[in-house]
Amino acid sequence: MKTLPLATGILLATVAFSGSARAAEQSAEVEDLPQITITDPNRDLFRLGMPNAVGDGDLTGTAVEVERRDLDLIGLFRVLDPASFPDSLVKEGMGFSADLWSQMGAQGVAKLRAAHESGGIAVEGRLYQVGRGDTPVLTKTYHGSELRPLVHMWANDVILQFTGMRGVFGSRIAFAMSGKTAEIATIGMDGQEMKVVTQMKSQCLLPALSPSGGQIAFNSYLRGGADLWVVSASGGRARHISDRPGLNTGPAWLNGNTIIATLSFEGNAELYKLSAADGKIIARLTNSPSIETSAAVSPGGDQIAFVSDRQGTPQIYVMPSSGGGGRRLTYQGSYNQTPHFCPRKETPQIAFTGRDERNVFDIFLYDMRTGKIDRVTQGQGSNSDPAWSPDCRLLVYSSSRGGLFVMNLQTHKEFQIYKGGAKNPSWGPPPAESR
Amino acid sequence: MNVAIQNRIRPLGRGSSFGGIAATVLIHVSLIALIYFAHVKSPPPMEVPRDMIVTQLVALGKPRDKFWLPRIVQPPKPKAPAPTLNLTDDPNAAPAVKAAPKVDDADISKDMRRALKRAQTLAQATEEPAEGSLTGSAEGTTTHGTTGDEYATAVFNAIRRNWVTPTGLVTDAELATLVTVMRISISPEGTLLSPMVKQSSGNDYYDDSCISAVKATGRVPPPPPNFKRGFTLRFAGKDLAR
Repeated sequence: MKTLPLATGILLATVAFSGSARAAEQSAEVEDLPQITITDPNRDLFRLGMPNAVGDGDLTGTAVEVERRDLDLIGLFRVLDPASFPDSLVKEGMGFSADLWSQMGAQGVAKLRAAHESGGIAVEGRLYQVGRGDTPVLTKTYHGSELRPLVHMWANDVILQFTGMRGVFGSRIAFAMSGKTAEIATIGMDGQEMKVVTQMKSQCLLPALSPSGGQIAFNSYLRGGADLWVVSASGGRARHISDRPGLNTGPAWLNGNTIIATLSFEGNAELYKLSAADGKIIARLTNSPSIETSAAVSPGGDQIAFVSDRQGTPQIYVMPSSGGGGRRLTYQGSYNQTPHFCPRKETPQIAFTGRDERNVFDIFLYDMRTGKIDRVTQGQGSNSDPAWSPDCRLLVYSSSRGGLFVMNLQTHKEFQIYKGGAKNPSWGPPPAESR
Repeated sequence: MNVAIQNRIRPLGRGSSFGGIAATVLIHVSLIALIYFAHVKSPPPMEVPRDMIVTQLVALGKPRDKFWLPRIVQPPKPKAPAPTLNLTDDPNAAPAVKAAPKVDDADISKDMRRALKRAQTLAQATEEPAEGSLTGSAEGTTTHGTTGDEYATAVFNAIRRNWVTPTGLVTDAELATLVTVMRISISPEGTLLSPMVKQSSGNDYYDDSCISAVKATGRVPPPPPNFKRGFTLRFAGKDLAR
């Protein structure tokens, strides 16, 4: 009995010694070979293959189309052309052949199965990574009554798997149509499922989606002047909340019940806090002989960015949400407007429209920490009215090229999501399952 | 004939008159004086001595030294009041050390300021980099070429060409900090064998890109006779020396 602890101790010591000896040997192995240091790799998007979906024929076409569009639009992947896939891969189903996909140049493969089930639709997604074996790194199944939202959820999970931050497919963008029809409309961020939500039959401008995404505040000239209205994001009858003399314009939601807007009924365009329910003035925020307009609220609601010409030209200022003062942010250019805060506190940036020396409008980013300004668009027509996606990965803006464009700020990949007269986009919150 | 002449010539002294002689002399003298004064020039007018005027173009000369140009004379600065004797001071104490003048001092002369600035520049100047070669590279770091490991260079070039990291999944900021260490063997034919990650960067996509680079390369030139058997590959995202 006494020898048992001794033997155990000897055994443990032997294991520990051999382990350290192995580590030393490995270290020696690494160290005794000549070393080559390789730096500055080439950069390219992650190559993602998305073969046709399997399952019920009336669902598979739409399912893979939504999946491909989402994962292309996010700007993180280079989607391989499915027309280039050989038959052997087409017939692979939900399985995975690493060698074949490697020959195609794919680094990852996303597969979908969509089928009817009792009471609805089921969508199964599998994500494989070349070089990580034949088992998927992500497998999920979704159930619902509509196909598109389920595929959007799958795309958001794929993005979460790759980046650690969930995607926001399923969120919607409100915008003002221009041209023959000047109503307010909403559209999915993938450019699908557009819906006109107002029937004002008059000029409508500057829509702003509420924090919940359930309401839209906007301007309309229905009664001759620039009045403030609120409508349900799903459409219906709009409520008139401010028709004071002069301007009632540029709404921005401070929270679900309060709107910041520009009113000029006291003789000068100033910023006010209004009740979203009835337009009652809660507080006046600015008091300056200049024009104050185009308010934008910071993620925590503690700051308001706005445009003022108090020093001669329209520039962007920031003040506390309780009002008063105003610290100038932009000093470059003579015409800076339409500020919009990134919705994430971790990314303290403001996107805005600036006019350059050629009188062309483009999108710029202001970093609140460093004061540095970066240009986002250039040489692509005139671009204005930027709005951030809820995850701050994308910007939507209107362009003189005709319509709405979305750009990934990291890769600068750009997509047109709406063709036609469109301006003043406002991006709503992420879909419910992403919050 | 001679008689006629003789009759006509009356010898002197016989019948001549004093008056006649005088008249003759007088006439002759008058005639001579008349002739003389007729030929005598009027005295030249009195000449007033006068200097000759000489005209020359002024040559273009060098600008005058500013030292000689008139300057605005500044009134002298008022002298500092004489220091009052502080009875508590030790009269035998050494005088306080004056601080060295600085470039920013207002009361130093321009020459002093110039000298101080020059001294500052010289103090801050780093050693001049050694010159390289006219055929050198802008990214060169040595003054003369050396022969390195040609085989290692060939392997480096082959693998780096195939190394691609995914934008968007590995940000530029992350790339600056990531390092993966791998070990590879090389067969006598040049086939890359047994790629193994010895030290992960902590980012799976970065590690995968390193493995993919080796696999995509597949083959390099056959190794030289004295080749060890493989290499340790250190994939560092950014060359921080740049």
